[in-house]
Amino acid sequence: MLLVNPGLPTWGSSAVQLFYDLMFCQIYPRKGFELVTNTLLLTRLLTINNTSTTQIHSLCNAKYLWKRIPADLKSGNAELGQIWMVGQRMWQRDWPAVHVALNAEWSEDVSDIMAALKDNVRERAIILISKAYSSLGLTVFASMTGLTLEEARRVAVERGWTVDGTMVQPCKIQKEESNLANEVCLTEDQLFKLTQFVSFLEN
Amino acid sequence: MRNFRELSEIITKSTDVLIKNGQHLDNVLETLNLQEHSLGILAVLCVKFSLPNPNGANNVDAYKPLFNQVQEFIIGCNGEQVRFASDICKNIQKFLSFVCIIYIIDAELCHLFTQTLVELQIPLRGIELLCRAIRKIQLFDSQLTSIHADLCQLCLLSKCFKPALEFLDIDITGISQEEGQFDSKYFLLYYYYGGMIYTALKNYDRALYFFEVCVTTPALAVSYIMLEAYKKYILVSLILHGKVLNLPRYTSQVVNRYMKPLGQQYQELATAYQMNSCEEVQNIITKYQQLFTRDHNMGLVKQVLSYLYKKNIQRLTKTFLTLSLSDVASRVQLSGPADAEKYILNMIEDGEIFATINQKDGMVVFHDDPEKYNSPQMLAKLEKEMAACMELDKRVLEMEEEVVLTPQYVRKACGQNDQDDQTPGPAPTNVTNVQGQSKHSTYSIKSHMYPFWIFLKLKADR
Repeated sequence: MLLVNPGLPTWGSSAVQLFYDLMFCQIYPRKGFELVTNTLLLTRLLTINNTSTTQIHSLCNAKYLWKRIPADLKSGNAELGQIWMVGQRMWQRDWPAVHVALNAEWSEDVSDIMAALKDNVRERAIILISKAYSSLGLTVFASMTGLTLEEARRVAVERGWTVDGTMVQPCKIQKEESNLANEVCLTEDQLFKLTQFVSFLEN
Repeated sequence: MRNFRELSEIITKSTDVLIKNGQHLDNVLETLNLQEHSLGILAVLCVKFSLPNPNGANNVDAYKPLFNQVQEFIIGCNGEQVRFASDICKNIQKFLSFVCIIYIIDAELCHLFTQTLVELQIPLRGIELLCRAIRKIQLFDSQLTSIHADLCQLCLLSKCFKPALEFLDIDITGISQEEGQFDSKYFLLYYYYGGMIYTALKNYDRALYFFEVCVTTPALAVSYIMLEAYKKYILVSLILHGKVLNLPRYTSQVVNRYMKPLGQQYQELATAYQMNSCEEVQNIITKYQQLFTRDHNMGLVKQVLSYLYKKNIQRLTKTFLTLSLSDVASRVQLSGPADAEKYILNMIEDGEIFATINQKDGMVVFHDDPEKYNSPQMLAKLEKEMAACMELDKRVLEMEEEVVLTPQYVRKACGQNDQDDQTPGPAPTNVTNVQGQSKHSTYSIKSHMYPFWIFLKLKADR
């Protein structure tokens, strides 16, 4: 294969952009190449921006990418179908099913990315649980995070959550202060802005 | 080289000759130089598109050579040639008219190209090329060209939206004249397709704006594009706001008079939605299922229904502090507590409600919005909005200045006071008629100015 294990952190979103461009601008696509780009792109789309609103956007893109992959490529490559299965479950927000789909055997090309995606999805599920539940069953917690009961218990305790028999009582995760450094501006700046506003409103 | 307009006329007249000699066109192309004879090449390419394919077969491979030629032309010639021409002419007037000619023919070529790609069902191939063509034609980033609509259509058909977003995300502030050839169809189509793209990507806010622009375009007759946009406007408005927003006052009369009866089924859906009864909405959907499917709106209609469930859950938060999951399910008419839990979970994640689920007792506790509007982030957001408003105000002033300076406006506003420069103007009776009216209604806005107004008013409404 052309690109073996690119490693998740090393290729940024510009690489994704490149693949994307290649995807739609190739006038005469070469089969093998297209397949690699498709696979990588799909996994990548599932992985990037896995939080908040942009996540919906990238899932949308993944969905339409899947729709425009030619049928013969889909049938010729079972893994592509498996990857989309994950995407589909994420689309439906069926967390236990996402983990079932993620637990499939992955080839060397995508295994790293899929592992990263798995962590990512789990983190998202944990944040959601801490936000949405004041108590939930250990089995539910385990299936939503794709862990075994024992692992789930350990993760919960690690985070300082109370595990009472089969019930978990999550604590709210304090929202980290987002990068304020670049938003906080000097007093002079603020004065300048205020002056602008006032002069605008008065005229 | 002296007069490109004349040259173009000669070429247009000789189209018949070219069509008759269709089989020799490739030879003609070979003798022409991309740099020196770009008008000639354009004419030949246009003729080639209108000819039946020489090989008879109507498939992708037969068209490949032609696509390559078009591609070569768009990438290679235009910009170079324009600069080349200006060097020789040293005459701004001629240079401009040349640019215009190139642009008209070019846009036409792009429309033909798009049509062919759509018929052959290979829309993906043209996207990159049309992006380049737009960039070449545009005089500035926020200018709309008739090719924009083509690009959006190809993106929709190929389900590849990213290239179009690059253009859609920029608010349009001007329209390429294309020497009076810009058809209002392309304006409507651009906003209709654009709205569809944003809907597909679930950016409903922006989608609604696009449909609104399409529907509120000044018109004297109903266009099918506007009608379809109006239907989608209703659906997206229901999803986003839970009700159909009233169209702004400057909407044309025809919309209220003809469009509303034509979209009656959609109105009924909206009325049922207003009653907050999922059953009613479901009934309407079943009743008009065929119509919705025929309009290709079924997917959106189904989303409307699922948003109604969400809306009903949101309404519960206003009445109750705590509620059991089974109560939620029965009040919202969901199938069971598990279903209710799933809806609530998803809504919490999207920040649509603030609540905590307690699985131990099967209860939900609803909270208030934790946003206190006292954080630096909120201030930053406010500042951003203010900056946008100020920018908008600047634009309005600029455009007003532009309008005030047009001869027509000056003539009408000053009326009979200066008869001297009225010679080419309208008859004096007209002027007196206008005089009594308020200053604003005497604006004589050229048809191409309308979109500015829409853009401005919509922005101001937000």
